[in-house]
Amino acid sequence: MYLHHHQLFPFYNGMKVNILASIFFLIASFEELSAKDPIDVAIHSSGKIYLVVGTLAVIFIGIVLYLFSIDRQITNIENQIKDNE
Amino acid sequence: MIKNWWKYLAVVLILYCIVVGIMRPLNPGILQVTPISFQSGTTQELIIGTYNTNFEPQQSIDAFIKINDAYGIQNTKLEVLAPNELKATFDIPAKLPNILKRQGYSLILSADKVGSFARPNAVTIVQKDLDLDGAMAAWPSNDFGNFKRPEKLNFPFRAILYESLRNLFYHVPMWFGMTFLLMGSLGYAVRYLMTNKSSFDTISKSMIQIAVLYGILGCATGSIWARGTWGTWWTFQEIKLTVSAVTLLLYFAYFLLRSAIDDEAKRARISAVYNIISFVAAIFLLFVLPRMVESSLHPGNGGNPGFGGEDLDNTLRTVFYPAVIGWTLLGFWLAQLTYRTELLKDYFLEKYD
Repeated sequence: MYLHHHQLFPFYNGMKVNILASIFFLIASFEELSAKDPIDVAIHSSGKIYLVVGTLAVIFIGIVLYLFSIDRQITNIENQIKDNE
Repeated sequence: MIKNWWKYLAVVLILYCIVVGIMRPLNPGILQVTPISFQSGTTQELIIGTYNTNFEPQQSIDAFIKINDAYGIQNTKLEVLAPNELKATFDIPAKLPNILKRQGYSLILSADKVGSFARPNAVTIVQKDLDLDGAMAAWPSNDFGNFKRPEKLNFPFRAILYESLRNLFYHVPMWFGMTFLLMGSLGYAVRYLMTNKSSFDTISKSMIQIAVLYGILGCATGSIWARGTWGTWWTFQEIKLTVSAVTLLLYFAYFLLRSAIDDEAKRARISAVYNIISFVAAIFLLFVLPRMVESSLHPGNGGNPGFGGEDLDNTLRTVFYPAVIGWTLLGFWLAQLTYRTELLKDYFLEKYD
């Protein structure tokens, strides 16, 4: 029996839910990895390198979010200049 | 002098700490030994699971069970089962030069190319009868000074941490960067109080903004690291987590305070004074309190050995110090961007109002 992905994910209705679902599965798989015995983790998941990947990803996301906020502020200034010309 | 040279330096140093911090391999280590406990006076076949060793079948490998600094038991037979698995046979004498009936001993492996490495408390040997003098007389003293050295200088292998040791170059510099930014912010707060120039207040505020960003990133990255090594996302039993959360709250309050005061000069003056007080509190919270408690999982706190000892060896230093400088410079760069954006906002607000 074959399941179409619409049947697997009945709530699937576009990009947004898809991203949310991937984040959920990412967290779920992370949770599963770290729940095992530390020695198992060391052997079966390249010695906890995923913690380094997670750390770098978090720092990158943090800096990008900050860049977005600066971007928004500069856009506001630009709009102000345009309005007053 | 190149203009903005320190920004290029930040890029180079962060690139260096990411590339070298990820690419340089860990030293080999011992992951597990079975059986973990046995009696003296028996012959034991130990299966030793190793990490990063890549043993070859004909490689010359010695295994030792270290009894103390002078005495050790060497293997009689040794077989390479897999690149990361050995079978070593030991004849354990009936009497050990130790007055304890039950004691954990280190296992040491010494091999060509990969060098020597150990696992503390790898095996527990139970003695039937104790005879210290007899055992000392019967045993030849080993020379433990001639272990093979590794060909390359790699990062140290640490139990429980394994590869996540590399987080030292990304998680820890967040806190160093936060501290330096808070210091810079304090400097500009003092300068504001001395000169009443409003730009000093804006610089001070921008630096705190990035310091808080770094603090949040430090908490988030530490949380991930804690989940994989301590088994929890967050715990208030660990002093350093509690004090860093309180420090962040102190600086959240700084922004609340600013938003509550409308008068510009008054806001700048009060927040500068608050900045000085909260900096003193932050130093006490982050650097004094964690050393006063009895136990902490963080290195350098509460009876846990800190930097300078085993925790930060020279191979780690070659990446850690550049990482601290790089991430700190990036923080000042981000703070400068915030400050310049604020300046633009102020300029156009005055021009068009």
